[in-house]
Amino acid sequence: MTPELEMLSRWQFGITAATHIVFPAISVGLSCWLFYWYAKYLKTNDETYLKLHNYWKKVFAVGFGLGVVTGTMMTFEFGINWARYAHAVGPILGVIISMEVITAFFLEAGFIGIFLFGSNKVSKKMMLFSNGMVALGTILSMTWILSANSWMQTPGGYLIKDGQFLAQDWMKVIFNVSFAYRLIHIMLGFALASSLLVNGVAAYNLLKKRNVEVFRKSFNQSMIVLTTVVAFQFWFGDQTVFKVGLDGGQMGKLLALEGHFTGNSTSWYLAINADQEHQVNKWVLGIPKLGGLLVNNDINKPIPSITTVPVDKQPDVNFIFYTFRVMFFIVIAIFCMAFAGLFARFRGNFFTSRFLHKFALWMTPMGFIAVICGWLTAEVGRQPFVVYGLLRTDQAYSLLQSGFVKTSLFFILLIYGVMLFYYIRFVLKHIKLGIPATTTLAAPGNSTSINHQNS
Amino acid sequence: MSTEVYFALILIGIALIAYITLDGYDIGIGLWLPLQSTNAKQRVLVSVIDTVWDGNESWIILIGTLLWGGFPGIYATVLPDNYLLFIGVILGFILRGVSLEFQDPKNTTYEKILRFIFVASSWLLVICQGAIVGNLITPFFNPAFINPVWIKVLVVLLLVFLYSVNGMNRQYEKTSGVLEDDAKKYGKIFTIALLVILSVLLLIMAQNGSLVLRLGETRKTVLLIVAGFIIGILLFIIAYYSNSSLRKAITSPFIFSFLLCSLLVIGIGVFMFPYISPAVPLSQEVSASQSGLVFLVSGVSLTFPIVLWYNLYAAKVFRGKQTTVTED
Repeated sequence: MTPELEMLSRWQFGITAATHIVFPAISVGLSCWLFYWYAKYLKTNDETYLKLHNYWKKVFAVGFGLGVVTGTMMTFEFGINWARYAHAVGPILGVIISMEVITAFFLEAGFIGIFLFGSNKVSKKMMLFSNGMVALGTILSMTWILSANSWMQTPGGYLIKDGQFLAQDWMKVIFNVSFAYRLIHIMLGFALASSLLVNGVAAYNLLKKRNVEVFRKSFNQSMIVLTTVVAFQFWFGDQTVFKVGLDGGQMGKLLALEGHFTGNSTSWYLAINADQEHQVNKWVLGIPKLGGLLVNNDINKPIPSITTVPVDKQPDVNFIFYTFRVMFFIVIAIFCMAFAGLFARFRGNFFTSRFLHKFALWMTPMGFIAVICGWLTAEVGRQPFVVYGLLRTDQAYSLLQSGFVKTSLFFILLIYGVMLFYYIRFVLKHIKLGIPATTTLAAPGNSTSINHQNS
Repeated sequence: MSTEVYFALILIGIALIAYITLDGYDIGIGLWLPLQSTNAKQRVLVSVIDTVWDGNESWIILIGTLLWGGFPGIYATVLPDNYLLFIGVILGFILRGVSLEFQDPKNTTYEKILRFIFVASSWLLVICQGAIVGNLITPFFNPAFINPVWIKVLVVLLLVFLYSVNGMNRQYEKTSGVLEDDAKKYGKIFTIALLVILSVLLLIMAQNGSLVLRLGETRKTVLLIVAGFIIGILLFIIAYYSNSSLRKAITSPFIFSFLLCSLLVIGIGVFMFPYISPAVPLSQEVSASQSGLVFLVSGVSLTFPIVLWYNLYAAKVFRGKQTTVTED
């Protein structure tokens, strides 16, 4: 049985990380959208792009701020809750995260002030440049973090000395086996999540027939991105699973995603109730032959059983089976929406189809749910290890009094709960408000008063 | 100890100076926001901060990661040893960020609640930070001579008034009218308080600190010179806020904050070397993290000048007084 302290530390980390990951998904995606709209505005002088830019900038600004503070939590949590892990991996991961702070964090921090508050202080070109630097910073940040996280999934380029991992070859550490695939996979995931948000809000306004001219543009653009990206995501998602599972040696994770305990079935399971203690499924619901086709490219070839992996190296099968399914079905739903969009274009009712717009509205938060589920699949699937195959989770957490962690968990739940409640309330209010008719269109660079845009 | 260790220590020192100077002023302004009675005045002060708070906060994240990468043994000891205090610091950061991000000038009640959270979290931050520094420093004092609790209380007060002086120096520079006058008045009071606390701490150190640490003659002399300069700067700030011709000659008192924080970090560094935490000597870390330190130091040193350049550019864009605020 897992010690209470380990469970508390894992819950705390899981909650803080799952909350945090939403904000980079918003920041990375929206900063690129903001850059695109501003660049289009500068090129075409079409003010609808500036309206879009100004409208979404507020959502970005608040999300960015919350990303900073929830990220601060993560930086220190490695040390306070996972001290044995921090000590072991510090010479590698501490260095990579430092590089992230210095190259990405400071780039964002240096230009975010100008980008959000500098409209009356700098030229339009400088505004675009600042926007670009903020976007670049968010992407760089994601890249370093993914390198560090992928190293924990598929460690390479290290040697172990006195219980610590030391870098032997930094190229192999940074560009570890799964890094490129996982980076592209999550980048596409962030692109989908932010585009679904932009798309859903555009659909809402089209349904309400408000600022139709502006939101037709963003609906069209986000649908193009979603349609293109979802196709790539299918392929990269699939490749990432196999890269981590086969090349990274995480067979436990790979097989848990399929949820088979017998090794003689070709079904693709839609639902299971796994009894991992007795290594059986209490019940399953599956589509015969589909599993063989999807996993083995052969409808008659059975899916291997997770019992081929020793019990003490198996992750929680039920948990990651379902987190993976949620992510997978959301991607299927995006695919269906993209198809409906193409169909509506063909029919000529792309901007008027209530079905399509309602579909898009329902899909608004789905990208973020998929990102969280994908992250949970990757991290919980790596269990019982923090550094796969090398450092077990039960050797990684800080040896604290569990009362301390209960206290911190209580306050974190309280504060994060209130914070998320107000953030969602803020975004919903902003969406309901739409683009106010009185919105000043004073182009950045021309205004004379201090614009307090972050209110 | 290897050259990389010294470089890593210098980098941490630079980040620490930047942090206590920059976040020091925005926490300092937060601490004393209730001194301003009207909402309008508080709004101007908040507008001095809300363009910069996240950038200023980045420096403590850098300190954390440099410590993790450079000295993982210290990172993995100091942080869990001060678990609840670090949780206090982090929740303080989160609450401050949230209270600044969710401002809504159209809803006064809501705004008042957020202001309260902002002020309370600024106090939570400085008290927890002070207690952590206090915990690091107290083992150097002989507990038979002085109760360690007193040292911790003094360090917390030192940090409170250091941030307060930084806050007032910035407020004086960035505001005008009543707010500028207040900065002048409180800046003087806080500087006197800081001078008193520092003098008490120095006296205790002179009587006792060296007993435990056995500082050599050279280090004692260096410490004495640094302490002399710090007291000189504090006296100069008091004179600055008392004398109008001095204020006309120097329009940016924030430079004093930078000098003050630099000297304090140098002083504490000289006092504590070769330790960051008395529990883990630096010499134990060297063999373990050598490979990481080389990469860390070369990577960070190369990018540091660029980082400083665009941060200075951003500071230049927002130079001048911040007195009018209009909302979209």
